[in-house]
Amino acid sequence: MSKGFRQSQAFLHTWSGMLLGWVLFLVFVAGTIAFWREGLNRWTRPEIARVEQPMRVLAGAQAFLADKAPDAKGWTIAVASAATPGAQVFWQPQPKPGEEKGRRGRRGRRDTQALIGGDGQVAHARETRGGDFFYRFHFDLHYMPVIWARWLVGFASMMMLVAILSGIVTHKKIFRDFFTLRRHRGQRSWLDGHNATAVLALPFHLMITYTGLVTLMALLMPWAVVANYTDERAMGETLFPTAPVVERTGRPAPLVDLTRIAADAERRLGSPASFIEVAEPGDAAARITVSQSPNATLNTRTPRLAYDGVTGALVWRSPAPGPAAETAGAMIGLHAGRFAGDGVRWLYFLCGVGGTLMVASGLVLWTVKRREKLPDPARPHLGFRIVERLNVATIGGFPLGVAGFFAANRLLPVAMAGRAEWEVHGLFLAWAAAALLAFALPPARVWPLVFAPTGALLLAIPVYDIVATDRGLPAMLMQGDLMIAGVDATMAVFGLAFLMIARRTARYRPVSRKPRTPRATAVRPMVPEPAE
Amino acid sequence: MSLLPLLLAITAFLLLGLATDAHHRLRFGSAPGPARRILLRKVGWIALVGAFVPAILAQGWIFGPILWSGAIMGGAAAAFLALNMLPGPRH
Amino acid sequence: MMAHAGEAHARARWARRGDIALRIVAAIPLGYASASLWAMALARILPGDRTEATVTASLIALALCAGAAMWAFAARSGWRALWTLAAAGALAAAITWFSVQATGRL
Repeated sequence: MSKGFRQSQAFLHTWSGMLLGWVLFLVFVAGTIAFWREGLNRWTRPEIARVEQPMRVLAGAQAFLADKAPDAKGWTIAVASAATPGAQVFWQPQPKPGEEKGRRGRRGRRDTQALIGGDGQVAHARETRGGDFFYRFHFDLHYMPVIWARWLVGFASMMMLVAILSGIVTHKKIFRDFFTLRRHRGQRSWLDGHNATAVLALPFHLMITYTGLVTLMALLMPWAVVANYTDERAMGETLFPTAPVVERTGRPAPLVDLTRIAADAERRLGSPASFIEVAEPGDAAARITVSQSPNATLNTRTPRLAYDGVTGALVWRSPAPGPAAETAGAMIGLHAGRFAGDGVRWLYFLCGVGGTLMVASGLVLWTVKRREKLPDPARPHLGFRIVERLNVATIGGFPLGVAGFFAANRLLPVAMAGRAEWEVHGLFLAWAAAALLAFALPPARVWPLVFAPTGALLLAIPVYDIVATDRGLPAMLMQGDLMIAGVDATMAVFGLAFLMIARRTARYRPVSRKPRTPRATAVRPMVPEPAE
Repeated sequence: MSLLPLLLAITAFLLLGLATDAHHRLRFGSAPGPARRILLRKVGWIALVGAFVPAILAQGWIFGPILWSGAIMGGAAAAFLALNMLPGPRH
Repeated sequence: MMAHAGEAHARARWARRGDIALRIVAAIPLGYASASLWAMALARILPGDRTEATVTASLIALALCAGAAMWAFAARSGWRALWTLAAAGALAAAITWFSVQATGRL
């Protein structure tokens, strides 16, 4: 491979990785946390007991919906399992005559959804977005229209893919260098750390980045559809087949027992149901559609069955997808990792942490490398100053925000109005405070100032759980609730880690250098290869 | 059977790591000769690629490759930590 | 003499910046456009079910975007990056156009 080619890809790697690196850091942190989405959904609602009998929850959900929305146009039930806080139910009221069809209700409407807990009754838990917040944030971000966010995240992800590919190509001795770890050598150590976290989980990083683009493919690359179809809905019908739509007859008829349907579906599909949708409940034309849980397969677009709502007879089964559709679905499944059991989920999480460290170390490496080349270290150029402060504001500030979110979940009054949104505001307020520090004080001083409170908060929360709730680590271990115990334990470990990093950054004393006198050089040398 | 890919991967990366000058010197006192280096690398790569077989046998054609990817990442991590963190013998 | 050397140095710097600017244009708007045009062309010419071909074409096009960016910086010059990617896009556009003329869309 020629030196010129490798150098060009080194240049591309640096800029492609850095320009939106801060966005990528946010995506990696939130996405990595989101692997524990359901566990956090439970952890953030300490009032709710673990689900022991999913079918009891389903029966309770049906009873609740039959009472609350007997004439709804449709019900949706997210079937509960031991991993979820309960069954999330939604209902869609009948459209009023003359009202135009279309516009789905605002996301997050509180008046047409409820959570049914383990006892089959409506669960009264504190209002929170739980783990779902991190899942949504890592592609929808916040405080902006979701389409903008997805374009930004999509664009950043493509730059990430380019950074990974150019990084592989540019790295001369990728396997030999992998084992190298030079400590206390400034730029070299950061480079080794960046290489180690990058190469170690390289299969994961490649997979998660490309499959992440696939999840946004309909938005980012819709042109193939345009080439083949005048109406994109025709394609949608093939990719997401549904049973024929039912027309309301107006003749009331009792809905069959949903637990019976769920059991039958489980028997036919070979694994539990995850979603049950009822169209026109209580009507003679009622139709029940059951989707298989994505926990059992790789493809997230799982098989679906449709039943007659009155007789319980099977009327439709989704056709098997073609190989390309199956591949795309499997790629989305790989990205979301819903198929993963606890062991594989820990692997995903650790790889995600590795990816986060890769992004962070890359951003820091940029400043460390250039600081050593600054003509006057006391007065760096504007670009350097911006990058340095953005690094502190983001890599230091966002984890503080996340810690703040978890703290707010515990500390905000349960009856507070708009509580769920205020937990999120808490995240951004903490982050903003850190960012203010990052731009007001010398960056080197701000690292410990943001890492220390992050560590302290993350350590304090499990302690709070032991002292002020009945969900402390020892209690959860005794009950065998390893998920909740695991969240507290992991938080404590990260808390300790942040405190150690805070101490390290507080003690760091850079070697002072005399400012170099500028020398006249013929041409500025190109940026050296990252592998040097 | 599910554990075998991981064990093979750890072995593979230990061998590949020992094929590098720095780590061979740390453990054995000198850089590896050309014959030994080639042998270490060959066996290392065979173990790495070979780990694919028990992975498929354990989990089938869809989840098997996932198990293999996880095993090589885990093996790389374990070998990296062992090679860099375990103290070497005094020479 | 010294003044000329300084000017040559400044000219070289601006030439390099211009070259990089061309490569950025090649990588991002032109690269995305070319990859999208190839998504359309592949969706037309890949055999089999239309939905399947459309999905396959889209998956490939995502990788082509990344490849175009790498090519934009690997090419010998910024201009070369531009015209090669533009030519590739034009070829895809022609394939698409003729195909749609011949058999229409669903």
